[in-house]
Amino acid sequence: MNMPTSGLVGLNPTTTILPNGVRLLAKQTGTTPAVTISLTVRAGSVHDPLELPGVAFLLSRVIDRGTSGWSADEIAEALDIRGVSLRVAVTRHTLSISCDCLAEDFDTVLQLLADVVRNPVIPENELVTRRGEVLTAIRQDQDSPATVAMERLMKLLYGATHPYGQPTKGTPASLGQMGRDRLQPFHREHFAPGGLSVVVVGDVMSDHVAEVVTEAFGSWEPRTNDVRPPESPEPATTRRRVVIPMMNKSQSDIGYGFTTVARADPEYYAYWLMSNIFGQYGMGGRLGQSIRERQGMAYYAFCGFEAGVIAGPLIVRAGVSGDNVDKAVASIDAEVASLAADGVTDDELANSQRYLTGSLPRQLETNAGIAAFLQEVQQFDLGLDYDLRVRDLIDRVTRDQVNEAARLTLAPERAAVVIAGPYQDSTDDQVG
Amino acid sequence: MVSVTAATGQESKIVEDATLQVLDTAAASGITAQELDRATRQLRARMVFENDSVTNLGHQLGYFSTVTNLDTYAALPDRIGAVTTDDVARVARTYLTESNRTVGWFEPVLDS
Repeated sequence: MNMPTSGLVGLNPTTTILPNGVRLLAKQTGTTPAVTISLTVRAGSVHDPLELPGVAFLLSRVIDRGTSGWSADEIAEALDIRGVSLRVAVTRHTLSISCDCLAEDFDTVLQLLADVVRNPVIPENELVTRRGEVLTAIRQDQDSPATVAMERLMKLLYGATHPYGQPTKGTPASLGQMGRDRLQPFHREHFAPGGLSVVVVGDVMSDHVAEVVTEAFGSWEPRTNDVRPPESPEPATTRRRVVIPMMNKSQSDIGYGFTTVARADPEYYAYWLMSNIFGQYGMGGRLGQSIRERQGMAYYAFCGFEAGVIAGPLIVRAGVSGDNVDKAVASIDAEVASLAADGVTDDELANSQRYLTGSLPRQLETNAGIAAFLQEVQQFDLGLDYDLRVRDLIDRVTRDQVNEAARLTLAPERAAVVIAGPYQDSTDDQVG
Repeated sequence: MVSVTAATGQESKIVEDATLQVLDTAAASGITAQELDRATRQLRARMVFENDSVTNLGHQLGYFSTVTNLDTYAALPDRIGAVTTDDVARVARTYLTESNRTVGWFEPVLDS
Protein backbone atom coordinates (compact mmCIF):
# COMPACT_ATOMS: atom_id res chain seq x y z
CA MET A 1 0.00 0.00 0.00
CA ASN A 2 3.02 2.29 0.16
CA MET A 3 2.73 5.26 -2.13
CA PRO A 4 5.39 5.29 -4.84
CA THR A 5 7.68 8.25 -4.35
CA SER A 6 9.90 7.88 -7.40
CA GLY A 7 8.75 10.06 -10.26
CA LEU A 8 6.71 12.35 -8.00
CA VAL A 9 7.57 16.01 -8.33
CA GLY A 10 6.49 16.97 -4.83
CA LEU A 11 5.96 20.49 -3.59
CA ASN A 12 9.37 21.64 -4.77
CA PRO A 13 9.06 25.14 -3.23
CA THR A 14 11.28 28.02 -4.33
CA THR A 15 13.61 29.16 -1.58
CA THR A 16 15.10 32.63 -1.20
CA ILE A 17 17.19 34.07 1.60
CA LEU A 18 17.37 37.86 1.70
CA PRO A 19 20.74 39.47 2.58
CA ASN A 20 19.34 40.46 6.00
CA GLY A 21 18.46 36.85 6.82
CA VAL A 22 14.72 36.71 6.05
CA ARG A 23 13.94 33.22 4.73
CA LEU A 24 11.25 32.81 2.07
CA LEU A 25 9.61 29.67 0.74
CA ALA A 26 7.18 30.18 -2.14
CA LYS A 27 4.99 27.60 -3.80
CA GLN A 28 2.78 28.44 -6.75
CA THR A 29 -0.57 26.64 -6.91
CA GLY A 30 -3.47 27.21 -9.26
CA THR A 31 -6.49 25.62 -7.60
CA THR A 32 -8.15 28.94 -6.81
CA PRO A 33 -7.22 32.61 -7.40
CA ALA A 34 -6.13 32.88 -3.76
CA VAL A 35 -2.91 33.07 -1.76
CA THR A 36 -1.96 32.07 1.78
CA ILE A 37 0.65 34.27 3.44
CA SER A 38 2.33 32.94 6.58
CA LEU A 39 4.89 34.91 8.60
CA THR A 40 6.53 33.15 11.54
CA VAL A 41 8.89 34.85 13.96
CA ARG A 42 10.95 33.15 16.66
CA ALA A 43 9.13 35.09 19.36
CA GLY A 44 7.03 32.53 21.22
CA SER A 45 6.15 32.31 24.86
CA VAL A 46 9.46 30.68 25.89
CA HIS A 47 10.91 34.17 25.46
CA ASP A 48 8.56 35.68 28.06
CA PRO A 49 10.43 36.97 31.10
CA LEU A 50 10.01 34.31 33.79
CA GLU A 51 8.43 36.81 36.17
CA LEU A 52 6.07 38.06 33.47
CA PRO A 53 4.40 35.22 31.54
CA GLY A 54 2.05 36.25 28.72
CA VAL A 55 4.06 39.03 27.02
CA ALA A 56 4.27 37.22 23.65
CA PHE A 57 0.57 36.38 23.82
CA LEU A 58 -0.57 39.92 24.64
CA LEU A 59 1.71 41.29 21.91
CA SER A 60 0.04 38.89 19.45
CA ARG A 61 -3.36 40.33 20.41
CA VAL A 62 -2.35 43.94 19.89
CA ILE A 63 0.29 43.74 17.15
CA ASP A 64 -2.20 44.45 14.34
CA ARG A 65 -3.77 47.42 16.13
CA GLY A 66 -1.78 50.14 14.46
CA THR A 67 1.65 50.61 12.87
CA SER A 68 3.78 53.65 12.19
CA GLY A 69 2.15 53.81 8.75
CA TRP A 70 -1.42 52.63 9.39
CA SER A 71 -3.91 53.25 12.19
CA ALA A 72 -5.78 50.34 13.75
CA ASP A 73 -8.95 51.32 11.90
CA GLU A 74 -7.13 51.66 8.58
CA ILE A 75 -5.63 48.19 8.95
CA ALA A 76 -8.99 46.69 9.89
CA GLU A 77 -10.67 48.44 6.97
CA ALA A 78 -7.97 47.45 4.46
CA LEU A 79 -8.26 43.79 5.46
CA ASP A 80 -12.03 43.80 5.92
CA ILE A 81 -12.78 45.17 2.48
CA ARG A 82 -10.68 42.37 0.94
CA GLY A 83 -12.38 39.67 3.00
CA VAL A 84 -9.15 38.94 4.83
CA SER A 85 -9.07 37.67 8.43
CA LEU A 86 -5.70 37.66 10.15
CA ARG A 87 -4.80 34.59 12.15
CA VAL A 88 -2.31 35.44 14.86
CA ALA A 89 -1.05 32.54 16.94
CA VAL A 90 1.54 32.06 19.65
CA THR A 91 3.20 28.75 20.37
CA ARG A 92 6.03 28.02 22.81
CA HIS A 93 8.63 29.03 20.21
CA THR A 94 6.93 31.12 17.54
CA LEU A 95 4.55 33.97 16.96
CA SER A 96 2.88 33.66 13.58
CA ILE A 97 0.65 35.88 11.49
CA SER A 98 -1.13 34.35 8.53
CA CYS A 99 -4.08 34.93 6.26
CA ASP A 100 -5.73 34.00 2.99
CA CYS A 101 -6.28 36.71 0.40
CA LEU A 102 -7.30 36.93 -3.23
CA ALA A 103 -4.33 36.73 -5.61
CA GLU A 104 -5.11 40.24 -6.87
CA ASP A 105 -4.66 41.57 -3.31
CA PHE A 106 -1.39 39.77 -2.57
CA ASP A 107 0.99 42.75 -2.98
CA THR A 108 -1.05 45.07 -0.78
CA VAL A 109 -1.74 42.50 1.93
CA LEU A 110 1.88 41.33 2.12
CA GLN A 111 3.08 44.95 2.47
CA LEU A 112 0.53 45.54 5.19
CA LEU A 113 1.53 42.40 7.11
CA ALA A 114 5.19 43.37 6.82
CA ASP A 115 4.38 46.72 8.42
CA VAL A 116 2.50 44.92 11.21
CA VAL A 117 5.49 42.68 11.87
CA ARG A 118 8.12 45.43 11.66
CA ASN A 119 6.45 48.58 13.00
CA PRO A 120 3.64 47.98 15.50
CA VAL A 121 3.00 51.04 17.66
CA ILE A 122 0.84 49.34 20.33
CA PRO A 123 -1.48 52.29 21.10
CA GLU A 124 -2.36 52.59 24.78
CA ASN A 125 -6.14 52.49 24.24
CA GLU A 126 -5.88 49.35 22.11
CA LEU A 127 -3.61 47.75 24.69
CA VAL A 128 -6.17 48.38 27.44
CA THR A 129 -8.94 46.79 25.35
CA ARG A 130 -6.90 43.74 24.36
CA ARG A 131 -5.58 43.25 27.88
CA GLY A 132 -9.19 43.13 29.05
CA GLU A 133 -9.98 40.49 26.43
CA VAL A 134 -7.02 38.36 27.44
CA LEU A 135 -8.04 38.68 31.09
CA THR A 136 -11.51 37.42 30.17
CA ALA A 137 -9.95 34.52 28.26
CA ILE A 138 -7.80 33.64 31.28
CA ARG A 139 -10.86 33.67 33.54
CA GLN A 140 -12.62 31.35 31.09
CA ASP A 141 -9.59 29.05 31.11
CA GLN A 142 -9.59 29.03 34.90
CA ASP A 143 -13.22 27.91 34.78
CA SER A 144 -12.50 25.03 32.37
CA PRO A 145 -11.38 21.75 34.00
CA ALA A 146 -9.69 20.65 30.75
CA THR A 147 -7.56 23.80 30.49
CA VAL A 148 -6.82 23.87 34.22
CA ALA A 149 -5.66 20.25 34.05
CA MET A 150 -3.44 20.85 31.00
CA GLU A 151 -1.73 23.96 32.40
CA ARG A 152 -1.06 22.22 35.71
CA LEU A 153 0.23 19.13 33.92
CA MET A 154 2.74 21.16 31.90
CA LYS A 155 3.97 22.65 35.16
CA LEU A 156 4.35 19.18 36.67
CA LEU A 157 6.18 17.85 33.60
CA TYR A 158 8.57 20.75 33.11
CA GLY A 159 8.75 22.45 36.47
CA ALA A 160 7.48 25.77 37.76
CA THR A 161 10.56 27.69 36.61
CA HIS A 162 10.78 26.18 33.11
CA PRO A 163 9.28 28.26 30.24
CA TYR A 164 7.13 25.25 29.21
CA GLY A 165 5.64 25.29 32.72
CA GLN A 166 4.28 28.82 32.30
CA PRO A 167 0.78 29.66 31.06
CA THR A 168 1.05 31.07 27.51
CA LYS A 169 -1.66 33.66 28.12
CA GLY A 170 -0.05 34.76 31.39
CA THR A 171 -1.85 35.30 34.69
CA PRO A 172 -4.17 38.05 35.94
CA ALA A 173 -1.26 39.32 38.03
CA SER A 174 1.27 39.36 35.19
CA LEU A 175 -1.22 41.01 32.82
CA GLY A 176 -1.74 43.78 35.34
CA GLN A 177 1.93 44.73 35.02
CA MET A 178 2.01 44.60 31.24
CA GLY A 179 2.22 48.01 29.63
CA ARG A 180 3.84 49.17 26.43
CA ASP A 181 7.07 49.40 28.39
CA ARG A 182 7.14 45.59 28.52
CA LEU A 183 5.76 44.82 25.05
CA GLN A 184 7.94 47.17 23.01
CA PRO A 185 11.28 45.84 24.32
CA PHE A 186 10.04 42.29 23.66
CA HIS A 187 9.24 43.25 20.07
CA ARG A 188 12.58 45.04 19.58
CA GLU A 189 14.53 42.07 20.91
CA HIS A 190 12.72 39.14 19.33
CA PHE A 191 11.40 40.43 16.01
CA ALA A 192 14.43 40.32 13.73
CA PRO A 193 14.88 39.48 10.04
CA GLY A 194 17.17 36.59 10.98
CA GLY A 195 14.29 34.98 12.88
CA LEU A 196 11.56 35.53 10.29
CA SER A 197 10.28 32.78 8.03
CA VAL A 198 7.94 33.84 5.21
CA VAL A 199 5.89 31.24 3.36
CA VAL A 200 3.66 32.15 0.42
CA VAL A 201 1.48 29.54 -1.26
CA GLY A 202 -1.03 30.25 -4.00
CA ASP A 203 -1.82 31.65 -7.37
CA VAL A 204 1.15 33.98 -7.69
CA MET A 205 4.47 33.46 -9.50
CA SER A 206 7.41 32.67 -7.23
CA ASP A 207 9.57 35.36 -8.85
CA HIS A 208 6.93 37.95 -8.13
CA VAL A 209 6.64 36.73 -4.53
CA ALA A 210 10.39 37.17 -4.08
CA GLU A 211 10.18 40.73 -5.46
CA VAL A 212 7.32 41.75 -3.18
CA VAL A 213 8.87 40.13 -0.10
CA THR A 214 12.21 41.81 -0.85
CA GLU A 215 10.47 45.16 -1.17
CA ALA A 216 8.60 44.62 2.09
CA PHE A 217 11.41 43.23 4.23
CA GLY A 218 14.68 44.00 2.39
CA SER A 219 15.27 47.32 4.17
CA TRP A 220 14.97 45.73 7.62
CA GLU A 221 18.30 46.14 9.36
CA PRO A 222 20.11 42.76 9.52
CA ARG A 223 19.92 41.15 12.94
CA THR A 224 19.37 37.68 14.32
CA ASN A 225 17.50 36.70 17.43
CA ASP A 226 19.24 33.45 18.18
CA VAL A 227 18.31 32.62 21.69
CA ARG A 228 19.36 29.38 23.27
CA PRO A 229 16.26 27.21 23.69
CA PRO A 230 15.40 26.09 27.21
CA GLU A 231 16.93 22.85 28.39
CA SER A 232 15.01 19.61 27.93
CA PRO A 233 13.85 18.38 31.34
CA GLU A 234 15.50 15.43 33.05
CA PRO A 235 13.37 12.29 32.68
CA ALA A 236 11.05 11.86 35.66
CA THR A 237 11.87 9.28 38.30
CA THR A 238 8.68 9.40 40.37
CA ARG A 239 4.95 9.53 39.93
CA ARG A 240 3.44 12.95 40.62
CA ARG A 241 -0.27 13.52 41.15
CA VAL A 242 -2.26 16.70 41.68
CA VAL A 243 -6.00 17.06 42.23
CA ILE A 244 -7.70 20.40 41.62
CA PRO A 245 -11.26 20.19 42.96
CA MET A 246 -13.81 22.16 40.89
CA MET A 247 -16.95 20.91 42.58
CA ASN A 248 -19.41 22.99 40.52
CA LYS A 249 -18.45 21.15 37.32
CA SER A 250 -20.21 18.14 35.85
CA GLN A 251 -17.13 16.50 34.35
CA SER A 252 -13.62 15.76 35.50
CA ASP A 253 -10.71 16.11 33.12
CA ILE A 254 -7.64 13.96 33.50
CA GLY A 255 -4.24 14.92 32.13
CA TYR A 256 -1.62 12.20 32.29
CA GLY A 257 1.75 12.66 30.69
CA PHE A 258 5.43 12.12 30.10
CA THR A 259 8.18 14.06 28.38
CA THR A 260 9.52 12.43 25.23
CA VAL A 261 11.99 13.52 22.54
CA ALA A 262 12.74 16.60 20.44
CA ARG A 263 11.59 16.92 16.82
CA ALA A 264 15.19 16.54 15.63
CA ASP A 265 15.63 13.21 17.45
CA PRO A 266 16.18 10.35 14.96
CA GLU A 267 13.63 8.28 16.89
CA TYR A 268 10.94 10.93 16.41
CA TYR A 269 9.06 8.80 13.85
CA ALA A 270 8.99 5.80 16.20
CA TYR A 271 7.47 8.02 18.92
CA TRP A 272 4.97 9.45 16.47
CA LEU A 273 3.79 5.94 15.52
CA MET A 274 3.81 4.78 19.13
CA SER A 275 1.55 7.65 20.20
CA ASN A 276 -0.72 7.10 17.20
CA ILE A 277 -1.20 3.44 18.09
CA PHE A 278 -1.57 4.27 21.77
CA GLY A 279 -4.09 7.05 21.66
CA GLN A 280 -5.02 8.29 18.20
CA TYR A 281 -5.58 5.64 15.52
CA GLY A 282 -9.27 5.18 14.73
CA MET A 283 -11.23 6.44 17.72
CA GLY A 284 -8.37 7.24 20.08
CA GLY A 285 -6.19 4.17 19.57
CA ARG A 286 -5.86 1.63 22.35
CA LEU A 287 -6.90 4.20 24.96
CA GLY A 288 -10.10 5.08 23.16
CA GLN A 289 -10.89 1.42 22.58
CA SER A 290 -10.36 0.44 26.18
CA ILE A 291 -11.62 3.40 28.18
CA ARG A 292 -14.28 4.86 25.95
CA GLU A 293 -15.54 2.02 23.78
CA ARG A 294 -15.12 -1.14 25.87
CA GLN A 295 -15.59 0.20 29.37
CA GLY A 296 -17.77 3.19 28.40
CA MET A 297 -16.46 5.25 31.30
CA ALA A 298 -15.14 8.31 29.49
CA TYR A 299 -16.64 11.00 27.27
CA TYR A 300 -13.34 11.11 25.45
CA ALA A 301 -9.91 9.50 25.80
CA PHE A 302 -6.94 10.00 23.52
CA CYS A 303 -3.31 11.02 23.59
CA GLY A 304 -1.44 13.88 21.95
CA PHE A 305 2.25 14.00 21.10
CA GLU A 306 4.14 17.17 20.37
CA ALA A 307 7.87 16.95 19.77
CA GLY A 308 9.33 20.41 19.45
CA VAL A 309 12.57 22.32 19.72
CA ILE A 310 13.19 20.45 22.99
CA ALA A 311 11.76 17.20 24.34
CA GLY A 312 8.01 17.58 23.93
CA PRO A 313 5.19 16.02 25.91
CA LEU A 314 3.07 12.93 25.28
CA ILE A 315 -0.19 13.63 27.04
CA VAL A 316 -3.15 11.36 27.65
CA ARG A 317 -6.41 13.23 28.08
CA ALA A 318 -9.71 11.85 29.28
CA GLY A 319 -13.01 13.43 30.29
CA VAL A 320 -15.02 11.39 32.81
CA SER A 321 -17.76 11.82 35.39
CA GLY A 322 -16.53 12.40 38.95
CA ASP A 323 -17.47 8.80 39.87
CA ASN A 324 -15.26 7.30 37.19
CA VAL A 325 -12.01 9.18 37.87
CA ASP A 326 -10.28 6.43 39.84
CA LYS A 327 -11.32 3.71 37.41
CA ALA A 328 -10.24 5.79 34.41
CA VAL A 329 -6.81 6.55 35.89
CA ALA A 330 -6.38 2.85 36.70
CA SER A 331 -7.27 1.96 33.11
CA ILE A 332 -4.80 4.49 31.71
CA ASP A 333 -2.15 3.01 34.04
CA ALA A 334 -2.98 -0.47 32.75
CA GLU A 335 -2.76 0.56 29.06
CA VAL A 336 0.50 2.43 29.68
CA ALA A 337 2.04 -0.56 31.47
CA SER A 338 0.80 -3.01 28.84
CA LEU A 339 2.23 -1.05 25.89
CA ALA A 340 5.57 -0.64 27.67
CA ALA A 341 5.76 -4.34 28.57
CA ASP A 342 4.29 -6.06 25.50
CA GLY A 343 4.75 -3.51 22.73
CA VAL A 344 2.61 -3.18 19.63
CA THR A 345 1.47 -5.80 17.11
CA ASP A 346 2.49 -5.95 13.45
CA ASP A 347 -1.08 -5.09 12.47
CA GLU A 348 -1.20 -2.05 14.71
CA LEU A 349 2.06 -0.73 13.29
CA ALA A 350 1.00 -1.35 9.68
CA ASN A 351 -2.38 0.33 10.25
CA SER A 352 -0.85 3.43 11.81
CA GLN A 353 1.82 3.66 9.11
CA ARG A 354 -0.89 3.49 6.46
CA TYR A 355 -2.95 6.10 8.29
CA LEU A 356 -0.10 8.59 8.73
CA THR A 357 1.22 8.28 5.17
CA GLY A 358 -2.31 8.25 3.78
CA SER A 359 -3.33 11.43 5.59
CA LEU A 360 -0.38 13.43 4.20
CA PRO A 361 -2.00 14.30 0.87
CA ARG A 362 -5.03 15.68 2.70
CA GLN A 363 -2.76 17.84 4.82
CA LEU A 364 -1.39 19.32 1.59
CA GLU A 365 -4.78 19.88 0.00
CA THR A 366 -5.18 23.59 0.66
CA ASN A 367 -2.84 26.58 0.37
CA ALA A 368 -3.05 27.04 4.13
CA GLY A 369 -2.23 23.35 4.70
CA ILE A 370 0.82 23.54 2.42
CA ALA A 371 1.94 26.78 4.10
CA ALA A 372 1.73 25.19 7.57
CA PHE A 373 3.68 22.19 6.30
CA LEU A 374 6.40 24.41 4.78
CA GLN A 375 6.67 26.45 7.98
CA GLU A 376 7.38 23.22 9.84
CA VAL A 377 9.99 22.34 7.20
CA GLN A 378 11.66 25.72 7.78
CA GLN A 379 11.43 25.63 11.57
CA PHE A 380 12.93 22.18 11.94
CA ASP A 381 15.19 22.30 8.89
CA LEU A 382 13.58 19.18 7.40
CA GLY A 383 14.73 19.76 3.81
CA LEU A 384 12.87 21.02 0.75
CA ASP A 385 12.08 17.47 -0.38
CA TYR A 386 10.64 16.49 3.00
CA ASP A 387 7.16 15.91 1.53
CA LEU A 388 8.69 13.21 -0.68
CA ARG A 389 10.82 11.64 2.05
CA VAL A 390 8.41 11.63 4.97
CA ARG A 391 6.43 8.60 3.75
CA ASP A 392 9.59 6.56 3.68
CA LEU A 393 10.68 7.84 7.09
CA ILE A 394 7.37 6.59 8.51
CA ASP A 395 7.35 3.29 6.64
CA ARG A 396 10.90 2.42 7.64
CA VAL A 397 10.11 2.43 11.37
CA THR A 398 10.26 -1.09 12.80
CA ARG A 399 8.24 -2.70 15.57
CA ASP A 400 11.38 -2.86 17.71
CA GLN A 401 11.85 0.91 17.44
CA VAL A 402 8.25 1.60 18.44
CA ASN A 403 8.48 -0.85 21.34
CA GLU A 404 11.71 0.75 22.51
CA ALA A 405 10.07 4.19 22.43
CA ALA A 406 7.20 2.83 24.53
CA ARG A 407 9.55 1.09 26.96
CA LEU A 408 11.65 4.23 27.47
CA THR A 409 8.71 6.60 27.89
CA LEU A 410 5.66 4.87 29.30
CA ALA A 411 5.67 3.87 32.97
CA PRO A 412 2.85 4.48 35.48
CA GLU A 413 5.43 4.97 38.22
CA ARG A 414 6.95 7.92 36.32
CA ALA A 415 3.72 9.53 35.12
CA ALA A 416 2.54 13.02 35.95
CA VAL A 417 -1.19 12.96 36.68
CA VAL A 418 -3.57 15.89 37.10
CA ILE A 419 -7.29 15.66 37.82
CA ALA A 420 -9.47 18.77 37.65
CA GLY A 421 -13.21 18.67 38.25
CA PRO A 422 -15.84 17.45 40.74
CA TYR A 423 -13.47 15.09 42.49
CA GLN A 424 -11.58 15.05 45.76
CA ASP A 425 -9.49 12.46 47.48
CA SER A 426 -7.52 12.35 50.65
CA THR A 427 -4.41 10.65 49.29
CA ASP A 428 -3.15 13.56 47.23
CA ASP A 429 0.45 14.52 47.36
CA GLN A 430 -0.62 18.08 46.93
CA VAL A 431 -3.56 20.16 45.83
CA GLY A 432 -3.64 23.14 43.48
CA MET B 1 -27.18 34.34 15.60
CA VAL B 2 -25.28 37.09 17.34
CA SER B 3 -22.92 36.04 20.13
CA VAL B 4 -21.19 38.41 22.54
CA THR B 5 -18.82 37.64 25.41
CA ALA B 6 -18.88 40.18 28.24
CA ALA B 7 -15.56 41.41 29.57
CA THR B 8 -14.82 40.66 33.21
CA GLY B 9 -16.92 42.91 35.42
CA GLN B 10 -19.36 43.96 32.69
CA GLU B 11 -23.03 43.31 33.38
CA SER B 12 -24.76 41.13 30.84
CA LYS B 13 -27.69 43.57 30.62
CA ILE B 14 -25.44 46.42 29.49
CA VAL B 15 -23.82 44.22 26.86
CA GLU B 16 -27.22 43.02 25.66
CA ASP B 17 -28.56 46.57 25.38
CA ALA B 18 -25.55 47.67 23.35
CA THR B 19 -25.94 44.68 21.04
CA LEU B 20 -29.67 45.24 20.55
CA GLN B 21 -29.00 48.87 19.75
CA VAL B 22 -26.81 47.82 16.82
CA LEU B 23 -29.52 45.45 15.56
CA ASP B 24 -32.25 48.07 16.04
CA THR B 25 -30.21 50.64 14.10
CA ALA B 26 -29.88 48.19 11.20
CA ALA B 27 -33.62 47.48 11.32
CA ALA B 28 -34.52 51.18 11.45
CA SER B 29 -31.99 52.66 9.03
CA GLY B 30 -30.62 49.78 6.98
CA ILE B 31 -26.94 49.85 5.95
CA THR B 32 -24.83 52.21 3.86
CA ALA B 33 -23.70 51.58 0.30
CA GLN B 34 -20.14 51.35 1.60
CA GLU B 35 -21.10 48.64 4.10
CA LEU B 36 -22.88 46.71 1.36
CA ASP B 37 -19.85 46.97 -0.91
CA ARG B 38 -17.58 45.66 1.84
CA ALA B 39 -19.88 42.74 2.67
CA THR B 40 -20.18 41.84 -1.03
CA ARG B 41 -16.41 41.80 -1.48
CA GLN B 42 -16.00 39.72 1.70
CA LEU B 43 -18.53 37.14 0.54
CA ARG B 44 -16.93 36.89 -2.91
CA ALA B 45 -13.50 36.36 -1.32
CA ARG B 46 -14.96 33.80 1.06
CA MET B 47 -16.42 31.82 -1.81
CA VAL B 48 -12.96 31.63 -3.36
CA PHE B 49 -11.36 30.57 -0.05
CA GLU B 50 -14.04 27.93 0.53
CA ASN B 51 -13.45 26.26 -2.83
CA ASP B 52 -9.75 25.62 -2.31
CA SER B 53 -9.78 21.84 -1.89
CA VAL B 54 -11.73 18.79 -2.93
CA THR B 55 -12.87 18.41 0.68
CA ASN B 56 -14.25 21.95 0.84
CA LEU B 57 -15.79 21.66 -2.61
CA GLY B 58 -17.47 18.45 -1.46
CA HIS B 59 -18.85 20.28 1.58
CA GLN B 60 -20.21 23.08 -0.59
CA LEU B 61 -21.86 20.74 -3.07
CA GLY B 62 -23.31 18.58 -0.28
CA TYR B 63 -24.58 21.59 1.65
CA PHE B 64 -26.29 23.26 -1.28
CA SER B 65 -27.82 20.07 -2.65
CA THR B 66 -29.23 19.40 0.84
CA VAL B 67 -30.68 22.79 1.73
CA THR B 68 -31.59 23.97 -1.78
CA ASN B 69 -30.04 22.88 -5.10
CA LEU B 70 -26.83 23.13 -7.04
CA ASP B 71 -28.19 25.86 -9.33
CA THR B 72 -28.27 28.15 -6.29
CA TYR B 73 -24.61 27.40 -5.67
CA ALA B 74 -23.66 28.23 -9.24
CA ALA B 75 -25.71 31.44 -9.17
CA LEU B 76 -24.35 32.69 -5.82
CA PRO B 77 -21.85 35.28 -7.14
CA ASP B 78 -24.52 36.90 -9.34
CA ARG B 79 -27.15 36.76 -6.62
CA ILE B 80 -24.83 38.38 -4.09
CA GLY B 81 -23.87 41.06 -6.62
CA ALA B 82 -27.54 41.87 -7.22
CA VAL B 83 -28.38 42.67 -3.58
CA THR B 84 -29.17 46.37 -2.96
CA THR B 85 -29.15 48.45 0.22
CA ASP B 86 -32.96 48.51 -0.04
CA ASP B 87 -33.02 44.70 -0.01
CA VAL B 88 -30.88 44.60 3.14
CA ALA B 89 -33.02 47.28 4.82
CA ARG B 90 -36.20 45.36 4.01
CA VAL B 91 -34.81 42.08 5.37
CA ALA B 92 -33.47 43.77 8.50
CA ARG B 93 -36.82 45.50 9.09
CA THR B 94 -38.69 42.23 8.62
CA TYR B 95 -36.59 39.88 10.71
CA LEU B 96 -34.59 41.88 13.28
CA THR B 97 -37.68 42.54 15.38
CA GLU B 98 -38.30 42.15 19.07
CA SER B 99 -41.09 39.60 18.54
CA ASN B 100 -38.77 37.48 16.42
CA ARG B 101 -35.93 37.46 18.93
CA THR B 102 -34.78 34.94 21.51
CA VAL B 103 -32.08 36.09 23.91
CA GLY B 104 -30.17 33.78 26.23
CA TRP B 105 -27.54 34.55 28.83
CA PHE B 106 -25.00 31.96 29.79
CA GLU B 107 -23.52 33.00 33.11
CA PRO B 108 -21.02 31.20 35.35
CA VAL B 109 -22.07 29.69 38.67
CA LEU B 110 -19.86 31.47 41.18
CA ASP B 111 -18.18 29.40 43.88
CA SER B 112 -19.54 30.44 47.26
